Amino acid sequence: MSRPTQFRRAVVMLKSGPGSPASPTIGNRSLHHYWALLKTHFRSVLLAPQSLADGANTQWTWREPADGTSLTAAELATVRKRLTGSQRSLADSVEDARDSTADAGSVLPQLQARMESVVEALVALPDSALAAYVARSEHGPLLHSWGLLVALTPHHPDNTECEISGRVLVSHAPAPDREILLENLAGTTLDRTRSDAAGRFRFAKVSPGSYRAHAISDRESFPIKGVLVEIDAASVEGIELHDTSLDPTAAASRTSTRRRRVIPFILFGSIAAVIAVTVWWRSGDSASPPAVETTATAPANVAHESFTRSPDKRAEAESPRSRVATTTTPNPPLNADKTREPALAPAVSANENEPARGPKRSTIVFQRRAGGSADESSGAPTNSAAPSSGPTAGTAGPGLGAAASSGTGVSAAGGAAVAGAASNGTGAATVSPPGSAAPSSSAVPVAKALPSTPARPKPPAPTTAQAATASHPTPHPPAPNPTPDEAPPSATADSPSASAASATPDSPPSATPTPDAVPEKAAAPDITDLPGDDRSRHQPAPSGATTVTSIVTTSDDPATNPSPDSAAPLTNNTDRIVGIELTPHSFRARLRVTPWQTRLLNDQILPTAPTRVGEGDAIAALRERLIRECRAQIPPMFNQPRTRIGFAIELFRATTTRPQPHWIGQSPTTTTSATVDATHAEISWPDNAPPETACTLVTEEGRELARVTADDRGAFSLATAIGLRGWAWIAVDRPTGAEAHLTARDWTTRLDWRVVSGAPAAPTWRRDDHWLDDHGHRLDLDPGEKGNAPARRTLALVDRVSGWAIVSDIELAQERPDSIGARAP
Amino acid sequence: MVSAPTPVVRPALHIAHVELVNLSECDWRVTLASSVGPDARSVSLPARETAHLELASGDYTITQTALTGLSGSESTRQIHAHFATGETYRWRLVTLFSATAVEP
Repeated sequence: MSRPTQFRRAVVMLKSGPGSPASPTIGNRSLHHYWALLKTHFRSVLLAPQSLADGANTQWTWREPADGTSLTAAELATVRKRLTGSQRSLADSVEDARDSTADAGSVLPQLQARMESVVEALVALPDSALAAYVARSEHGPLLHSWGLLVALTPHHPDNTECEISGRVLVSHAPAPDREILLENLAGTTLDRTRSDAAGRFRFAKVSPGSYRAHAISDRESFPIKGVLVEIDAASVEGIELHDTSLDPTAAASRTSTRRRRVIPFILFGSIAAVIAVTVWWRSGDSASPPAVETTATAPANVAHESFTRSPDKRAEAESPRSRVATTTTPNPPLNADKTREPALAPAVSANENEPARGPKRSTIVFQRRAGGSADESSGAPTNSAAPSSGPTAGTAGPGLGAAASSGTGVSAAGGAAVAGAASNGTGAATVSPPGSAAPSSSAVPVAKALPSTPARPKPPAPTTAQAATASHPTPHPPAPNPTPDEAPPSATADSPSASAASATPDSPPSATPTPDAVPEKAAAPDITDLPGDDRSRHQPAPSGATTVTSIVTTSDDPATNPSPDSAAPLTNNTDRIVGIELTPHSFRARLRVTPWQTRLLNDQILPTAPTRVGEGDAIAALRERLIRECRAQIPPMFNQPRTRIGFAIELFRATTTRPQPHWIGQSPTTTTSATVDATHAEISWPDNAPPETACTLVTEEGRELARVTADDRGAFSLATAIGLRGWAWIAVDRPTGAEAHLTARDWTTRLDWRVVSGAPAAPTWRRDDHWLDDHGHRLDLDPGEKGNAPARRTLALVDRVSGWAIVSDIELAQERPDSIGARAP
Repeated sequence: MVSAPTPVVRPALHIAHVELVNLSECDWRVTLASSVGPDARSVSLPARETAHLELASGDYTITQTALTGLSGSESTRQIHAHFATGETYRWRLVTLFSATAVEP
């Protein structure tokens, strides 16, 4: 009986600087940065280079049999054959691109030429020299160090143990008896210790990898992100964990001053809250981790306690999926079986060679601790209604309770408002529900009229996307900084450049006038293609339907969240967030929504009658009476509409084989809802979210995939990394119990999204009436591949029966930067 | 001998004057059907315009239809009215949204 093969992790790291082999370049970029364009052709023979977040170092990781069997001549011959075949494939692709794309010739030919020389050099090597490049990976022989003149020597980090030590300082003085946590980059607590009388602490037996050490105390605030430590081959000493009182910035001073003033009042509450959360968490409710609060007393760390006594810190430290494993209830702990689930270094592309796993969904909820100190530390405006109405951790609800109330309540009876609506009430463009039966006989269930419904892509439609990419391989020149992680579109077969066109609708939707629209006014197309199976996708965080996997917050207060540059006196801070370069391949959207107002859109005949001249016809009284009657018909959901604004970022199925990205929030609010699943990530707020919110979708290595910000004027912006597409959406919650006799289908029929003035609706917009488990109505402002030019619209969600609507003025632009630049003066 | 013709005394017409004042942005069609005869008068009234009618006095069924600006069942309304001989009536056609423009 044969013994099962034991695997071990192997790593080679290419560090920039003197003494290191020079990496081949194209322009001023490393050849390895173009892996996104190469992997389609070379994935069967080259290991994916993993560009670390510092942008300078590159590594290759793989798992190899521990027995160290040497390669045979036949295997090396196969490697040579694959190299030449892959190079041929690349050459053919570049040739095709030349024929079909005018601008494709700029970089791809250079890339092809460079790879040709790399392949020729490798193929010409004698077996002994070529073997030095070959990694005996789980997926067969693959080359590392490719492009380098000399193969790097692998090391096996699991055989190395180092230690991390330092001091805890409060106001520059050593602070004894503070708890220090050692976490991996996924936020899993791997170990914890307490500082001694001199404030010293030490974590022993730490294997190479990236860690975060931070102190927690109920007496002082420490930066929640702590200090980032990278263990390469030696111990790291001298870490200093300062409390936040040392920050020199004015904001921090104000924060500290305020905090000192209120300490007597909040101290008791904070301690009580921490204790309560701790007790609650220890009680085993692992699906509902408590929230992290930006002043960094970090109940989230308590949430990870089940991992704190792990005797072996390696796997958790290295596993990019350990975040999911920490708190997920429905999802199995992905790193439980370490022999089957490779504990990869915090890098992404090693997983590209693995088969895809089934999609899983995770939810991240930002929540402030009771007491509001997050506001104090971050300076973010306080949403006074939020703490009680926002989603609680675990339920991960959308937190609509307090939403938008300030933006409503426009008197429906107000003559001006009503009259204003009248002028806008004509010529409305409608976004109709899928297959809805409009009351008017002229209404056509457009879903039935669209035979090509399946061809219209849903926002996360990887299957369609992949099919499209396969049939439309239109390479684009790579971006100036296309690191491997920034090109996740296609880990299966498609090139990242081709995927940019993957979601182009195969058949544009037909334009159908709204049933209520005035005939002579051209109506915008109906958007009807929302399959029924779509309902789970757009739910921000339905209770019980998703899993709370982690809570990640950071503060924009440099005192509590120092930038990695300033906070890490250590080497190789791989957790630094890399800013998005808005290349022609990236995408950005901007959305501003005015407060929703309740209006009566449908005009009505005032019941006047002929009167003798000189007699009054009581028009004013009639009008008042009619308005009263109309107001009685306002759907409850329009009385105080609970609206939400969000962004979706299209991921790809490839992400199922790699660590899922997660959201990091700066100044998150209790009503921030963020989700990540296999195909897309979403984040949303009530549309009265506090200004100056910023949230970032990052990989486990801290590489930004997307960033959503809200400025002080309430304008939300989305920027995505290369190859990722995003879009804005708006939604309205329909409270449970509101007109309970009406089914969701009834509401689907009754409600219409209409553009009542301004630019018409884009044909790629889609409505989802199954949002929030059939208790919400959402409109995805998907711009399609071409984007939406900046435009203003008055958008309404209209109740056909009563004529009432909620109306908002929307400014929307969703474009690629190159088109934006072309329009700029 | 031919006697002078006896003047024919025609009965005075029982006329009522009706003024239709459209205060709305809608175009209307107003049909007035006498309840005692087969005849009906139909008047088209553009937005913000006024029409004058002379009708035989009596009871009428009046149908008010918005040609533009309203839709569905809300665009038509039917009322009954009595116009007395010699009287002048004014009927102001108004919608809810145009009501603010109505002068007392």
